[in-house]
Amino acid sequence: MAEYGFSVSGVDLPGANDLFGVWTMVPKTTGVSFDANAPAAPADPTWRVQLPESAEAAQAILQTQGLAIRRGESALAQAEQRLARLGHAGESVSFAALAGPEAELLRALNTLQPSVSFGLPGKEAIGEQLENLAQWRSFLDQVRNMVTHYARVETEVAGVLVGQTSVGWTGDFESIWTPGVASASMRLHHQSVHLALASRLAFIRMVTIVATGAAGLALTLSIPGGQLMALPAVWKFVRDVLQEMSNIKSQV
Amino acid sequence: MAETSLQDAVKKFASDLAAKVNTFVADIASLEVYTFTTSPDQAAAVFKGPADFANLSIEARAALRAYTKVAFEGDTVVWVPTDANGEVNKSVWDLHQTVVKQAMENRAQMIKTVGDAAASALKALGVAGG
Repeated sequence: MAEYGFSVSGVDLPGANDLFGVWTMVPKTTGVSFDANAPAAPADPTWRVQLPESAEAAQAILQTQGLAIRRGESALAQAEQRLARLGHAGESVSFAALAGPEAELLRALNTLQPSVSFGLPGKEAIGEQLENLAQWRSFLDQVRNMVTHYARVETEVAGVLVGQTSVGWTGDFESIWTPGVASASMRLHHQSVHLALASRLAFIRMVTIVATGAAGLALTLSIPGGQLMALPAVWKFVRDVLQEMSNIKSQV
Repeated sequence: MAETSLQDAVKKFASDLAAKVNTFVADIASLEVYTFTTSPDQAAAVFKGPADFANLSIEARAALRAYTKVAFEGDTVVWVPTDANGEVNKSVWDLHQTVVKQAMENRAQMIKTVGDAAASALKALGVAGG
């Protein structure tokens, strides 16, 4: 397949270096530019798509990436359903019958219960909870940033920028095109914008899935501090399910 | 300690999203779509610099070619791009129309998703007594 790139800057998915296996996270640069004329780096989250010159090859790449995002959306829906099942099962849920992300989640939630019969959580378990807490907080910041800032999407075909679009939270669009840009390149940019916006929506939707899932579990498992304390563990569960689905896909 | 810091993080998230939802009526009062073009020699500066669309035409770095504003009550303002001879520039116009459609679809999804996220965060705070 021809060379291509999908990257996003101004956004970090804590604990991961890609989003849905499509977008590579570009870390924030901390360096200082000594060129006074150098344009300032965009503050808005920027989704950058680099495609080959062949329109057919570029289309094929965009379709493959679109499929990956739809798979990510399905994985999120699956995480939501699995959380709902756990919430309904509540205290009747059997540890022995569970494996994978569910078992890990219940183990983490049990360490939050004072009546836990498995003894005090170990140093490792506490360290893991603190790590999840830090990642969840960072994730919330990222999503807040996505809603309060424009999404900026840039499409490059054969190394030449063909279009740039900025999209506000309520959908105002501002696009810039190079004159005479081929209609095939225009279509490619539209598809890039679509992929970026679908990814942004999925990112925001993760918050709802985590918060709603934590509410169901906190109620049935009687966790002190309610769903607030359960959020980091549920956040990890959702990410584990995404990873699990990604692993299944790569084995097929 | 962890609970307080977590509560603060969720509170900030919920309050920022709630602020967005509070400006909801003003924000969705109209949907605006701008289509600019820029000359190849200006493209590098326009594309790489910070997106400051308000000043693009003023600085002559990019030209506004088409504009659509759809007001909540149904009023619509449309600027149609024309060539030097006054003919409608079909390629720019088709392109602009596609973006308008995409913008309207995205708006509906975005408002629902952000509303759901804000509600779930507020619920988390409510349950925690925050």
